[in-house]
Amino acid sequence: MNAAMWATAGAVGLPLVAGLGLGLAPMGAAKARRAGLALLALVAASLALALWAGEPGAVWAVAWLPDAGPLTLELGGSGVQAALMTTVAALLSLGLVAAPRRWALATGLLCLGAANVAYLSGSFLGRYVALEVVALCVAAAPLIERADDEGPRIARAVYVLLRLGDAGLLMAILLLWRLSGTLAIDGALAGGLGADPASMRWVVGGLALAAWLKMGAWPFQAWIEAAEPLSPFTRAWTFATVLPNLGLYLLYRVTPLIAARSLTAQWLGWSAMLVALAAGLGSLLLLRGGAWRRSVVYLSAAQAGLALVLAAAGEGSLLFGILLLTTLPRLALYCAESVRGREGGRVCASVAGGALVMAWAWALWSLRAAAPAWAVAGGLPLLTMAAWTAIAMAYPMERTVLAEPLRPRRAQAQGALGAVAGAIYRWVEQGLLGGLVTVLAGGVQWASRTAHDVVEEGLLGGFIAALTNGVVRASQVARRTVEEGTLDGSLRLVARGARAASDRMASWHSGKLRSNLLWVAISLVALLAWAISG
Amino acid sequence: MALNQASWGLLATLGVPLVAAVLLVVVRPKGRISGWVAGLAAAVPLASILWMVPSLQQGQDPTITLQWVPMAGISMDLHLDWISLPFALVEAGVTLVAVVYAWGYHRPDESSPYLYALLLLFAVGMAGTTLSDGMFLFFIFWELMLLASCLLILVWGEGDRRGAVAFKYFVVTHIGSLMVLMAFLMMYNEAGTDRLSVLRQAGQVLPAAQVQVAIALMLVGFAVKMAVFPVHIWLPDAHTVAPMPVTIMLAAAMLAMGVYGILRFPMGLFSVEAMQAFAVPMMVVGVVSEIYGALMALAEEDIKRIVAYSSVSQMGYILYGLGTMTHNGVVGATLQVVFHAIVKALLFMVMGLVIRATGKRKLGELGGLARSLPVVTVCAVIGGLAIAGAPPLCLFVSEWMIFSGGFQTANVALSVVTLFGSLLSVAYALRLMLGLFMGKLKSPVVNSQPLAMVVPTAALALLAVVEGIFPTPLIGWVTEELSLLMGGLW
Repeated sequence: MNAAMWATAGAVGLPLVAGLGLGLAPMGAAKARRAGLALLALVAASLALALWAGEPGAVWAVAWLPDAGPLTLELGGSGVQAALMTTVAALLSLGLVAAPRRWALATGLLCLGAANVAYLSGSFLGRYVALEVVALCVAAAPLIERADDEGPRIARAVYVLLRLGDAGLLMAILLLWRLSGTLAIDGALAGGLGADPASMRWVVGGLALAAWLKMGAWPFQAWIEAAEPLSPFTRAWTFATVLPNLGLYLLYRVTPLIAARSLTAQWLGWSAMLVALAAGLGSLLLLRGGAWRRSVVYLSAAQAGLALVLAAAGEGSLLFGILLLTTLPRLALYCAESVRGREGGRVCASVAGGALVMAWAWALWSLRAAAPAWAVAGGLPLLTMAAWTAIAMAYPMERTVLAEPLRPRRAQAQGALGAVAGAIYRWVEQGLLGGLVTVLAGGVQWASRTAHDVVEEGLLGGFIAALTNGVVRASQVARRTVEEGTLDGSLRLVARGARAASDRMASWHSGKLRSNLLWVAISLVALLAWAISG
Repeated sequence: MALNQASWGLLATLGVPLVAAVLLVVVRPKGRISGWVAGLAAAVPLASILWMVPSLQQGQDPTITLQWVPMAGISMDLHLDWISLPFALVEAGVTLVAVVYAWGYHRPDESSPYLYALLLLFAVGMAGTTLSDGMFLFFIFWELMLLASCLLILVWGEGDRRGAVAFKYFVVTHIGSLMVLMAFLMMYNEAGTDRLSVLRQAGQVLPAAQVQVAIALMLVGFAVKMAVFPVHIWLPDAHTVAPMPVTIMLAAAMLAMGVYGILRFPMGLFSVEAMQAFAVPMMVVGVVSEIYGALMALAEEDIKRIVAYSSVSQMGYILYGLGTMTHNGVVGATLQVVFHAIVKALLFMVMGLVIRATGKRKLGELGGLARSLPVVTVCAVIGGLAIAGAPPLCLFVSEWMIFSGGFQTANVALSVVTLFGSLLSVAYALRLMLGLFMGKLKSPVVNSQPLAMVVPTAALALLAVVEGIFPTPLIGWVTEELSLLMGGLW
């Protein structure tokens, strides 16, 4: 084994093994945190070594499914840098906030191991499997932290949403496989570039859906928002960093495909701008309402929207730059509320906000020069977001978690803007989107119950019942008419006739016999004597 | 009677359980002995089939040739080939775990010898179905399977409705059987023989119009046994009322016999051209069944019925995969049969353990069992995630192949619906697993769990993981069947 192989094994294997070990070994939260920090430092060192020693190409290769090609882990690409950034973010978050429960930390480590596999994977199949494992770890976190009925509710919502994104990704992967004949990411993406427009629409749609969901772009930030009652580490790292970063990285890798079809890209770009605007506005409104945690989630959603704009504009390198530059500030904003000491939190938020402004200002500047004109309009939500971040830096942070982000009293105190903001929030977020989610979830349940009642109990059950009744009735009628009427009747008639005939014959026969008994006896004796003599 | 060395395996596969069943009825051993005898008799077929695999790999198919009615061209041939192998393995494996599970589930009493004897006869019916090389022998075993399972439901079923349920099960599935018989008679009349090796030429023997009719009859007839929408009506009640070992055999093994029928007869005897007209209808019915079954599983409250309806959904995937008529689709569908058997048996075993522990079967009355039943919870989570198609568990592998087969056809939109429809499987699996094991404890756990029930459950959970990580040998075996399907032109 050479250095690159050791480094890759360390980056992937260490968190997986340590995650399992930490889950099984009985130790306190503080001790587990120290162990976690040491381990994360080792993983980061492994990745740094991989960055330094790794040459482009596959380091590890495993055959899994026939015809699917080998599952490879590759160095030399952008994946190592993204993995390193995500690992450093884990280190930072564990250092900044209170020690999580041992099992929560173990889940986070498993998540990191799977995420690193996804970053380094050279095969779409390997990446898909790794992303699924990450989604499972993310969904398991609420079950570990909340023993009440809230945990399963969050886990269910999160996993179903993430699987929706994975379904989009799987659709794109399978179509790319068909179009290119390979599951190797580079080959599949190259093969997809020359594909027919009809197939490409499905591919781009699937990839955009996957990235949209994983990054938590509006309105799919709901799965990150669901982590609100969980511990700071789980909220900031497991939920808000790992999958959003993986989504961003996925988007970066597939940018050439997305931008290749100008019309599709334009549609995606405009939608993404609207999404970024909506989320940016939501973030601003929530902040004014004092809901710090949710406003940060919406800020991430706005950034995700902007990332989609960059992808639609074909700015892959900008996108990767944004991934590297915004991971730590975004995480710091999530952690700011939980950083020990009010001043520490404020400093953390200020620094993080400033860094985000700088990063996005750079992106906007670069976009202005290179992208199509429509994409420059992406500057609008960008500016909204920058303004928000500036406010965030100066705004006194709320330390309490608000169940209702915009309390009416508070909105009143903030005057007309607050009232408008509150109204928009209530109508759009709680009313329209909340209602949509409720209708969707309830709709599936209702549809299944109705289908069950109508089809199973009604149509099919009724059909069976009618069939059974019909058969029973028909057989009863048949019994009455054929069996009892015709066959039994005829038999009875025959029997009755036979009996009457035999009765008549018997009476005739016995009467004659009785009245001529002497003559019969003499005749029999004579017959016997004749037989003996002759 | 012609025999080669490997053919003894065929005799053992059918003969040992048959003899054991007769012995159980005649001798009527007391206590647990019936269960042990049945367990031993159920282990022999599995070992025999595995013993015959090397012969298959060397190209020497185990065969027994026996003339039955020579002047009518009817034979009593038995034969193991690559199409039969996965199904025979499924049947033998499921029977073994079901019998072992019955040791813990069924309290020994005077009826035990009859119960185990019928379980073995049910298994003989399924094994004979997969090993017959003639249509009439196939049909005899097919009906034996139905009779034995029907009697098991009728006598040992749960609740007062068992008579009605057994009747419904018998009548509905028998209608399917009659359709199959009609198709068989059509082919027999034209070919003058019931031997499948000869009937492979049936595409040429039958007039074109009759080919389509025969295929349609067989597809519908076997679909009844598969229990795809809308001919699934016998399944939810039969699975719910049957005692758990029988439910396991019904859901995990007997449904597979419908798939086997489709592979062996319409797809095994006719050409690609003849089958092509049925490709899209099969895919459409598959998708509808997948989504409909999952919706019904979401609507149900009875935990046994939820798992039962999930079979309707899973059979939908399989029919869809067969309908793609692509390499990956057909291999994936056959793999799905094997993996579905593992996971469905696992899930029903888990439900049996939950019902035994709590005495309840309504989802709303259950919850928070993870602390009381940790091993069962782990098994259930593996089963639930597998049925949801989460990697790297076994059903992910087969679903991956089925989906990829779908995307290789021209029906991309249908494939997209299938893929996104699988989210409903995620929804019902999560609802069931999280509802049973997470949250607050709603029902006290009263009974201890017998090892005979826990060990096979855990073994299947382990198998679901192992087969997901190392599926290659099985995929290799299953792929071999392609040369025997639709003229082998793949």
